[in-house]
Amino acid sequence: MKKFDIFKKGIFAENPIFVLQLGLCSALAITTSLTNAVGMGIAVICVLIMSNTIISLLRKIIPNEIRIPVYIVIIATLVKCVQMIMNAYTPELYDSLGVSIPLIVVNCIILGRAEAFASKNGVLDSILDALGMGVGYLFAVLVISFVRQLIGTGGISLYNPLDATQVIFNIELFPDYAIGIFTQSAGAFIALGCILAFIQYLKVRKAKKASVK
Amino acid sequence: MELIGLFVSLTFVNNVVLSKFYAICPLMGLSKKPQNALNMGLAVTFVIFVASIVTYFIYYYVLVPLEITYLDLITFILVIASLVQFVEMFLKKTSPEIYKSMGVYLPLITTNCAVLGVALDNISAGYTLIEAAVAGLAVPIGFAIVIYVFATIRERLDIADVPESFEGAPIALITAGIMACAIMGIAGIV
Amino acid sequence: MSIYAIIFLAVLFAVYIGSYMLNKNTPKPEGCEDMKECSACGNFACTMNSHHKEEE
Repeated sequence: MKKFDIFKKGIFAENPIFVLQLGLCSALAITTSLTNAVGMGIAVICVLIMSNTIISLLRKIIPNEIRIPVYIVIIATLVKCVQMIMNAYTPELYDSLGVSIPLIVVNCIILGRAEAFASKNGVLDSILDALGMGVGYLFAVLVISFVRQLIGTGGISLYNPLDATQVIFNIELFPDYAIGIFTQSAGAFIALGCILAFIQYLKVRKAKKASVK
Repeated sequence: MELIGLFVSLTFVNNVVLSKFYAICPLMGLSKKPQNALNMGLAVTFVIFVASIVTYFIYYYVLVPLEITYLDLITFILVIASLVQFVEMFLKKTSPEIYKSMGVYLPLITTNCAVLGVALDNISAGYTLIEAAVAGLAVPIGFAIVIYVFATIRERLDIADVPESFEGAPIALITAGIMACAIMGIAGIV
Repeated sequence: MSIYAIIFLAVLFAVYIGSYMLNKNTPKPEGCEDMKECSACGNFACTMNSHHKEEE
């Protein structure tokens, strides 16, 4: 049960984007479509699991004094591997994500989990933590990109991230009433702001109910 | 003339924070004092300017001749990180005054997306040395302007009556969204 | 070719570790020892982060 809690807290209680507000840069930049969000989410999960595993395995070998430089080198190497793999197998996705993939190196989530969790816990726990945080990130970017794509283009579509020609679904609901700004940068800020406000509203309501009881 | 165009477009139209989303973390989290925002902007400007020139030289005079360009990402992050350490050390030894006002923000810069982002963009856009230097100056100036304006707005927001659920991060994000709209207006002029 | 890559990386890494250690061992100037902690963000790479304070 305790193992499951480690996994679960990353998705809800400590969601990296909605609650901890880490790594907002990439979450805003790539959420123009569901396809991009899925691709970026999977890339982040891969890097997070590998970095947490390696750092957890090496946690007793890395000298405490220089741990941050070592973490940065490990993470940069892993990101470069993921970047090269994506360039080779998913060229369309690689082009549309652009500089967001190398910028995973400086994403606070990865270094944050390495420092706060993997450097103190065993391998299995660290993998579970990485999985939970990664799924939490994926969930958050999916929600943001769903809102932005629905309002910005008036429809929802998802292509196979491995092959851009393969359409999984493509629904057009109200293309004539789309608000184009939501696909641009200003819309990203406003969409995320409203989502965070909604989450805060739920929290405040819960707290009020608890205080009444 | 082209350089001025590049400068204006990188400072305002393609502003790092509002249209490329680099460096949102310091924007959201930085304390609400405009003076601190200005100090942070100064520290970032210096690091980005030096980093963009150093990474340019290393990429074209070391990585390309040796055909090891696949090391670009790890090279850049290490160069930036060591540069930040040197700057901090230099300030500690020479001018305690500047260290006092800027020192808090220096360690943050290593993982500021904008620094790595500018270094990578300079290479992928194929800039010459002078263009890279102009970009290294224009981008952080755009960043400094935005965080300064943002800090002054947030100072006002503190005394404003914001709905309970919008307090804190949500209203800050929406403010940034409105600022991004304003920046989009400039795009029409240039 | 790969030997150059390894040498190059080793040099860079040595420079970084060297500067990191040098910086850590340089004492802070007078009046800055108790610089107020910056609660700007959850950035763990920053040595000002509250997380690092707890351990020491």
